[in-house]
Amino acid sequence: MGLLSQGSPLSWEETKRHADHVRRHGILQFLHIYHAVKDRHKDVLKWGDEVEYMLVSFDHENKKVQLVLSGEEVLETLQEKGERTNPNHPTLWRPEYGSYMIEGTPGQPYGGTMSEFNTVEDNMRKRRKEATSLLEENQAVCTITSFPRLGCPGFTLPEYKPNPVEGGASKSLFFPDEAINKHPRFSTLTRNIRHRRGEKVVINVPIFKDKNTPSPFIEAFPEDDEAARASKPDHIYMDAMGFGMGNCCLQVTFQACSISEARYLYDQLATICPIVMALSAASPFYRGYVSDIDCRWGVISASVDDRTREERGLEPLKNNNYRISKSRYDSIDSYLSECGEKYNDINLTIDKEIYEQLLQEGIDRLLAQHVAHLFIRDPLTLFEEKIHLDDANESDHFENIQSTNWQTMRFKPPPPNSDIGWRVEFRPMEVQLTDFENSAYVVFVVLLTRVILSYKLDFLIPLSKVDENMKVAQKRDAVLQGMFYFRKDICKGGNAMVDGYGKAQNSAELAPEEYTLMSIDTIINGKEGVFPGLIPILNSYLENMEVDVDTRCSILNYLKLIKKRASGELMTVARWMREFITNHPDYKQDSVITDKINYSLILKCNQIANELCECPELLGSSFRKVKYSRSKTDSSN
Amino acid sequence: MVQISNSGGTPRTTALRHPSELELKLFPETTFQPNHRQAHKINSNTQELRDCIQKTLNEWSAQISPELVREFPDVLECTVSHAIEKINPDEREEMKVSAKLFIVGSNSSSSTRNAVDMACSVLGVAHLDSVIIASPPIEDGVHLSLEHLQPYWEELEYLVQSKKIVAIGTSDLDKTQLEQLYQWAQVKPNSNQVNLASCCVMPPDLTAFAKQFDIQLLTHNDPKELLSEASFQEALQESIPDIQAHEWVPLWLLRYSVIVKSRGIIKSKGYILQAKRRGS
Repeated sequence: MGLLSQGSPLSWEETKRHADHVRRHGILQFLHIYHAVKDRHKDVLKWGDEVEYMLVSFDHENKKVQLVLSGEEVLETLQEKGERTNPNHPTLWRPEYGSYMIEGTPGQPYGGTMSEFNTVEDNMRKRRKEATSLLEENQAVCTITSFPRLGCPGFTLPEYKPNPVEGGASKSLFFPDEAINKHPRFSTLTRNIRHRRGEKVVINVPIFKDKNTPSPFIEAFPEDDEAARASKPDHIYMDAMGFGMGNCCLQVTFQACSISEARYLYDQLATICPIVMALSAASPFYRGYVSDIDCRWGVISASVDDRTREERGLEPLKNNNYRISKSRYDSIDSYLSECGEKYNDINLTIDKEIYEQLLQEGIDRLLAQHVAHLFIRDPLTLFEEKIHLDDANESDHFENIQSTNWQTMRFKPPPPNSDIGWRVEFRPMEVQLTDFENSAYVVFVVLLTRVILSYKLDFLIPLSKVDENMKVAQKRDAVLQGMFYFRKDICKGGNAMVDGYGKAQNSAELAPEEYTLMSIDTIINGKEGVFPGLIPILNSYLENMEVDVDTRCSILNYLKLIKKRASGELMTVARWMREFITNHPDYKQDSVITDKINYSLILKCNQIANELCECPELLGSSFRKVKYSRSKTDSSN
Repeated sequence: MVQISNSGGTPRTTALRHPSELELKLFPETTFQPNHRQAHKINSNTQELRDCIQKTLNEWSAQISPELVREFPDVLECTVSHAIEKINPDEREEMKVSAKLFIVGSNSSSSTRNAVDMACSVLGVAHLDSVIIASPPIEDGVHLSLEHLQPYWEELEYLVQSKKIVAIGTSDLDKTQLEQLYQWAQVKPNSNQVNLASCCVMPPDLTAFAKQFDIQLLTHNDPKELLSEASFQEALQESIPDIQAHEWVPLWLLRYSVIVKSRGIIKSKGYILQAKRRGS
């Protein structure tokens, strides 16, 4: 999750003193990059996925599963045996927030040819295998978005008690600091967010009210005033960054051919974020309870919310400069392409000085306000050795602010002096249990970008409506119950937007009938007379591409999964987990996930991921046979 | 804009009373045509093609004087010029230009040459990177054999040898058919398309043969008959009522696509169609 520098991390008070310095130089670094590479064009498509993993350990005797705090060692060995031994090694591994987490990506980015879609799953399998091979007996790597008993007593191996006193990182009642990755960036981030905020982070997730769930559901925290004040009735209360950043997700980054294509894709995909998030819903349980949400997004958002009471509008502005409407981790606040301009209906808080400076440097208003908006934030970590930098050749200060703006989409300028082009990152997806599912979601998104560019599609709706969609998308069973604002005619306005940013549409007021509420099924699969559907459009694109039979078969199975998840024929991971719990003999309809239930669930997840058992309600029944016979023939690699 | 030209391409000054050929250049632009009406029943390619034919004819007939249709030169070239997108020579290297040729009528094999020439001139390129020939129509109950393919394949080979095409391929051949062609042909097939429906259940013998001889197995989703004589005439009649559509038979149809190779993007796509007046 972002930039890793070695060195001595500064306290919040020290970091704060340098905040203006970091911003000032961050902007200079951005300007150097911008001026050097703004005219880059004809870059090819390159893309890659990022999968996050949790290390778990099964105690079969006591029917208990725990998160193993060995991420740092596992990572060290993976890197040692992999990228450091062979620069062409097929996998790359990076640290993640939890000491029980690792992140894996393909060793080299994928390219623009269709057959590369057929290598994604094999590469993910390799990653799973590689990481698994380093684990001890009864341990496994799992791709689950949120560990159901995260923050419950004894959820880590070795076990640690939380130490809720000042001096540590989280000061959490539930999440011990030992569960945070040992790299100083992570604990510093945790502590500085809390210090900047002036109190612990507050996460309240509505509890799912089952038959025997107490009503009202109230947890008492007599020992802790802060918790007593912050926790809400009928909610699961959490108080640490780890409850959010300690979750796993699935991301895709792609290189655009030019800055304008990157801006166009950034905007178009922003509207898709809530849809794909609901489709990928996989995190219904928090701190040992069944919640009423299916997605992690709001939890992470609250887990890193460093805004002060003034900034949140609870107190008059005195020491701070702005009221800020969202956490650093949230949906995007402005479109970047000119065709998006008229849909920018969210009040944008910007650093006016930076904005003016960027305009003077010849940057257009849309990009200038985007950067000036990111830069209303303070740096959260700073290393003593990394304060004074060469702005022409380094970008740490820019990245410092950029990489702690965790939004649904990220617009990524090329690193200085590199041959990398302008990139866009798609960040809303929840990670799925299997490599098959994760490949399916990744391939779906990348194909969608190709279709958007080929057919010049236009999905834009007012950004405030996208925000409304984000809220709906996280609700329980949003994939089937939720209604989402979506543009009706996506084939219209898209003309020639890609080159030269396109023309701003002149009509002042947007006709309300430009978008309407649709179900995910309609958006994905289409509905006669209403909407053509993203999958039918993808199929039309695929018919015009040269695709070999193996690749086409894989894509067919991937799109079938997406299609059936959208129609409800197959369950989302969230839905499946809920049903699993409900049918567990130990479950008492009281929204409580005991150690034993958790053990059964994670064991089952691991079996599904390793193809030791079928799960047709989640994955469909037909694909496995085919995949099996194919992977058998492919066993040579 | 209407271009009237004879088959040699020189503009004619006098129009003949009885035209014998009709060329349609159909450009669906690269927009996705939402076909709400037909959703699942009609193959989307068939629908797309019919929409294109009609759209082109309508636009074209609206632009020309009624006399022209009545006077009829011997070749009618219906072109909606704003839809034409010639490939910029500077960008040619980045593009892959592919075509699939559908023989519609039972006719001479020179169709192949005409179609490829016309595609090159429409796109402003010297050669096509790949041409796939759909299996020519044969009578019901007859099994497609090498003899059916040979005349077309020889034409394709000639076009490869004269550097008009880089690679040639087939569609819907089974292992035996592909093997026969492979053994006989001077220029070997570089690919064979199979129907999308079978991409997950490929016959092992075909897969093995293709692997051994380095023939790419690709997928398509075209119906058995992409354009029937009747549906063409129907579209023609609707757009140009004076034309006596029943006299016209389509000879061939070529679908081309221009792909930006390293980016997986469809730059453009279109159809070219040639029809002939019966008995001329």
